[in-house]
Amino acid sequence: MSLQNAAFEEVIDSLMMDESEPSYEALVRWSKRYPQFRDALMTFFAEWGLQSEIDTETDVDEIRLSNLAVSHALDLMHRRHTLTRNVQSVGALRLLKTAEGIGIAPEVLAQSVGLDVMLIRKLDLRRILDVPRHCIDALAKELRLLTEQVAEMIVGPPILSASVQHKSKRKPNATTEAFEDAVRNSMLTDHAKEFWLQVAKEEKEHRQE
Amino acid sequence: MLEVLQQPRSDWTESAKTVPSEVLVFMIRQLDESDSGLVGALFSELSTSIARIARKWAKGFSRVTTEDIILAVEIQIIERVLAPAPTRRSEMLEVAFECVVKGRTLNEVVAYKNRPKSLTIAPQTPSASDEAVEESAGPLDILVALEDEARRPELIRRAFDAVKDKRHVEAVVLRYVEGWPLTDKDPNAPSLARHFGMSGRQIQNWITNALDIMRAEIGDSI
Repeated sequence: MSLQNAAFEEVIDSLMMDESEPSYEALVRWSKRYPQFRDALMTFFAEWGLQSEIDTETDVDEIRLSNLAVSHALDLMHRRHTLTRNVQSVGALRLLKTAEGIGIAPEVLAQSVGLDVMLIRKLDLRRILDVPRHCIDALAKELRLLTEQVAEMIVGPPILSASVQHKSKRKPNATTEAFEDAVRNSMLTDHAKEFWLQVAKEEKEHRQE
Repeated sequence: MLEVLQQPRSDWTESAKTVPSEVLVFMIRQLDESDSGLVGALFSELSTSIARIARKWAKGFSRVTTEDIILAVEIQIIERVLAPAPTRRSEMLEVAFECVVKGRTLNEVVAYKNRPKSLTIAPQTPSASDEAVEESAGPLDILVALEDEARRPELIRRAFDAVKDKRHVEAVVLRYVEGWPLTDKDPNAPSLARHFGMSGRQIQNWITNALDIMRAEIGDSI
């Protein structure tokens, strides 16, 4: 979920608690309070007004929905429990190994989240600093994990690739780079690069507010 | 919540049927995977509660679409309930569950309607020349009927059935029920023209046409 979407969700939560009706006056009030969400609020209020006036609810299969929801919940709990156990037993889990464990190849993971394979491998080796939350959320969604679990995998001391050989007595340091530099140096299309650079910029600005 | 905490967990499945949803969320958060049977039972009750709230705010769709929307909302709520560390968003569920589900549902309905469709009509940018729109009064009897809260749901429902383009009915509802202006001199202020991306004149035509059809459809019963 993007930062913008998460912030808008919080606005909606507050709105639902404070307002009982989708009046135009309430819309104007909230639009002034959150001008960055003016258009989204307008669309939301329009739908709220419309739904308030339709009287016929559609019948649904509550049992089927309940079964699907319970299945999702238990699956999520199981994944979290398994990951926690693995982290405790073998140390930090790796991004690519986790993906491989559920049958997702690096190329597929990269394409699903809008990155390229090189960026995915760099994330696996913890070579990228200041990874935007949006990127971590996208990876978590694909791997069906919690964001915090993926963050643990890609944030931390950089990992030296196993294939690296060195003769020096001192272990070489793995190089790191900022997320924006990694994106600029990647094989992503210009459009994709622009998207990720904008995401990184917005998140940094949000943190500074 | 204190009452539930004092009960043995073996009683929680039965208690889940009667406690408020906020308490259900609290109960689930006390459990882990080792209590999967109990977790399943509690989530089953929570799912039923979510579906009943969400149905009220996802009207006007087919059964399949309604179920898709409700399931999307349920998944969002589940992920909030199971957040590993408390957040403001997750804690809201223990305080105002119905408000959160209502908001999520309306947001999901908006997202569904905004999905790219195979044929889209490019919105026109409202032009300055449309600012002064002479609003023709719709059939007065229809407008008076819309003001009657007891009769309005039936009128709207019949209008949805009779008027081909649902946006026209939406324009009528927003104009005459919620009081939205057709246009506004302030470009940042919400208005029907801004919402639909059409000129004020076009929206007025929509409204006039919709009211005419509504009158033809239900005029005898007014």
